[in-house]
Amino acid sequence: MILTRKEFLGLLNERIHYLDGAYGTEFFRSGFKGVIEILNIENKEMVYSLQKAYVEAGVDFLLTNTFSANRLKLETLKVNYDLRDINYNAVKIAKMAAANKNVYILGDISSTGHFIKPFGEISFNEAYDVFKEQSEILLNAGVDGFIIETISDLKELKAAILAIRDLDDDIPIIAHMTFNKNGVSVTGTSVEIFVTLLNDLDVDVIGTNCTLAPEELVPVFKKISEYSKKPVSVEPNAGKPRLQRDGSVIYKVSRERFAICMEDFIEMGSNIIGGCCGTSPDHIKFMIEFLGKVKSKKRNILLKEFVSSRTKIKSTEPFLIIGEKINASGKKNFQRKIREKNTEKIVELAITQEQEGAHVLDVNLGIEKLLESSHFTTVINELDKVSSLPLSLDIQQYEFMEEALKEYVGRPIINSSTCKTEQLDKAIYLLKRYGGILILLTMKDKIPKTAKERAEIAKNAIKYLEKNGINKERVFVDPLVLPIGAKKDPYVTIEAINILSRSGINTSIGLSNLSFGMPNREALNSAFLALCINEGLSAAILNTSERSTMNVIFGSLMLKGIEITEKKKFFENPIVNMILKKKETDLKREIEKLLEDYSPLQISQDILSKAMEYVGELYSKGEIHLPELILAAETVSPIFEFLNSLIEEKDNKQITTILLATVEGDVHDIGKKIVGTVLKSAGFNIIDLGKDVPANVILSAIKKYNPDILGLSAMMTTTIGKIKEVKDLLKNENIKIPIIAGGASMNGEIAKKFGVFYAKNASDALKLVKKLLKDIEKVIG
Amino acid sequence: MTYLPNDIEFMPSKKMIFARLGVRYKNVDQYFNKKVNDIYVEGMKYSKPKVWWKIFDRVPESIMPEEFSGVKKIVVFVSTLGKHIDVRIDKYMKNNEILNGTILDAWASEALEALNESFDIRLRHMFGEGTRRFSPGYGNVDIRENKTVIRLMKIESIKVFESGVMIPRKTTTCMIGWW
Repeated sequence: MILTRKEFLGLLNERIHYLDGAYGTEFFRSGFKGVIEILNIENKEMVYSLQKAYVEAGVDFLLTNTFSANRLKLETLKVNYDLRDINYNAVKIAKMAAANKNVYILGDISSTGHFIKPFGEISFNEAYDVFKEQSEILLNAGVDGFIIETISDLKELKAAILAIRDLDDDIPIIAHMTFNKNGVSVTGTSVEIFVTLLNDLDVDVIGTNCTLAPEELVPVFKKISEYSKKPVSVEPNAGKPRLQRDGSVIYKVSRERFAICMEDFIEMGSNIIGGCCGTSPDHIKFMIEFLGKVKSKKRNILLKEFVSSRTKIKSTEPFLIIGEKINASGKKNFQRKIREKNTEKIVELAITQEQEGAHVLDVNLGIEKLLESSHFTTVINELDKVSSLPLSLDIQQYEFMEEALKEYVGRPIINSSTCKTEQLDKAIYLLKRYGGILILLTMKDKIPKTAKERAEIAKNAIKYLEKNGINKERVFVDPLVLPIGAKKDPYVTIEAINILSRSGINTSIGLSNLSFGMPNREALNSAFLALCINEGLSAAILNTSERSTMNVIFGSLMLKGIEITEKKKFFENPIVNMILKKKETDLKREIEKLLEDYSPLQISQDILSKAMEYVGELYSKGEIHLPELILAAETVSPIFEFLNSLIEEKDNKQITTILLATVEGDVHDIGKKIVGTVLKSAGFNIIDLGKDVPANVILSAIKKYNPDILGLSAMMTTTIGKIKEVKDLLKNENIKIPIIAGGASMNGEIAKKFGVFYAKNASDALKLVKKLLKDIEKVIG
Repeated sequence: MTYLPNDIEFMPSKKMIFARLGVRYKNVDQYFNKKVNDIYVEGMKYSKPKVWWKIFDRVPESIMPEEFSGVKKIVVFVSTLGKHIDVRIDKYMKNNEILNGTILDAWASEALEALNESFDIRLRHMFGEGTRRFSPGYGNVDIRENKTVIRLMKIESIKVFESGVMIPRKTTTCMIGWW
């Protein structure tokens, strides 16, 4: 069977469709331990039997056993079999299991196991190539569609989507991300940010899977169902893993409870339903029998438009304030810094404009002839690192714009296109491929003189965009503000805004052009803006430092009965603010001032470390996200090093050492690295032994470094037993050291059984370390 | 004849439970949803569903629905969730856990309805379309005639009060006719 996208969507229109359940946990339940994709070569029968059971359970879609079968992940897992054979066999086995049944095969794609820059070490293009390589094999082997699942980084998901779509523009794609209970992924992306970008990208179904049990996933899915303009899908876990007395791991949610809970997703309008970790053919069979093959419910979809960065999202209503200050045109020093890839000023401007009330940041790097694409990607990554506001990419050269869009995480503004057909075609391509909102200039080669002409040209361009799949809500027309200093009539722009607004078209202006070369610019800008808003203006690129201008926005909108409520994120402790805003220089200056009254050790332990503890709490409460936490840790690290260099040797011995390791057989260490970074940023000395570390190596390291605390990580249900192994080995050697264990498969109950402490995340680990140190102090002291 | 249904056959839709409780499914908050899920699973644990059924050429006049006139065959069936669910509902009520008791009662009523519906479908697969399903308390048949039905079916484990109320409480008597 070959399934076109039209046919696929036709199927979903008929009724709810069912995916299969877990593979890994099912193979482990059968006693297999290891990399499950190897079974595609070594034990095809085992894969076939499980897939046959899913087919008999009544699924409509069967996933290939290729979750980790991409080059990077297989390398990390030290799998020596040929990537091609693993993937090709997977499709062959799935097809055999589905033979003579109305079951379609979906190529299963998941993470490379590495973060993409700026948070990881691989580039977007590397990730793209890895996904393309795997997808091509699956496609040639004959899959009917793809599912990308268990991805926690929106950038990685984008790379996977583009890779598949570039191979085949008519193959169905289901794209999932995985979220925590608070509806935010570990990389700080909210459900709303994910869905509003995926609405633009060329996928067929938007959904979520893994991490959470069905009941926990309901609020997450509710948002997907509200924001998604495409069909939606869901695959929850069967609860959290629990360790049994015999050492095996079970998932708590029974098939009955799973089925009952899954009705919630039908009620919320799900089109595709399946199971993730811990679900078995029995769960899936029972669920399908209970829920039946009914028609999907109609959803109430939110039709608002949004712009977003990786961590921040803004509705385009009622008015979009776009900060203009990251603009190097005509500023020699600023341009020089950009050419040197010194982004300090850009980051500073991003932070200032956010504090001044901007919703979006316009980024114009000046004379592009002097730049390369890496300048654009550097700026975008640096702004991503500081969790900046959404960006308006004011880039002239098409190649640079495409590179920037590729690198950008979120839904940006593409600034801009004229109404010329060639330019519109390019804009259509970019909008469809990367998502976003377009600023459309009311001109072709020349700027029309009258308002009517400008409005007309824009209306025709919008018709063209709509004909090509870009709805007018994704377009902001800029009716062009020209300098009054050059004797240009500002009322032409105002009239054009009026005409366009009456036709339900969004408008945006570059406000400061008006007063270029004039004295008292703020007065002119604010007065003009008030007139424009009165005529229906919906956005402006402006100078957020101009208080009159900013006040005019709020005042003018209030007069129209619209109130903008702004939530600003400032914290009382100035050191916390400096840490969170990456003000390294200010922080160092502050610390130097404190050194006049306090000892380096006091500052390290009582001031800086406490500030980081507070940052950890903000993360736990969801007030800041992972990128901000990592950034904060990176900001304070050099300050700690500076303080440590001042601490006398006798005092240096007071610094706590923590030894970290991922246990033998486990290669996951992103979480552990985050823990290490946060602990280090709190002033602790961290020794990280890496991943896949045997118990005897950990023992030797303890003897060598004499740490105060040992931190162990185990991600897999099959490797958590190794934590106990380390604990027992240390006991036999009569070494008494507190052990903190963490990782996806750990929980408090298992930790208690092992006789170790449990930390859920980095912030938890920090709190626990401090508590343990106090306890140790009490015992000694 | 007796029939022991499988789990699916008496699992009601949550939508129906919420409706019986006077709540719209889409307005249900997480806390209440979880409570209903908990009680749902508990209801399944405490239920011992069973169906007694017999085919008759004729049934006593007093339980014969007017709509069945001319039928050649009547299947009478009695369905129950058993006594344990009653005990559990009572326990909640006695302990002043009124919400739990109310949800479990609503669940049990819907579970019994789901069971009747499943068995109805099963019979129609065997015998064809037939009349609509009929129970005493509707049309011309007095609810007190439950006693007649239980006597006709010779079921000793179900007690019928003069009022027609049956113990276990989650029990129904039904009939379907075929021409």
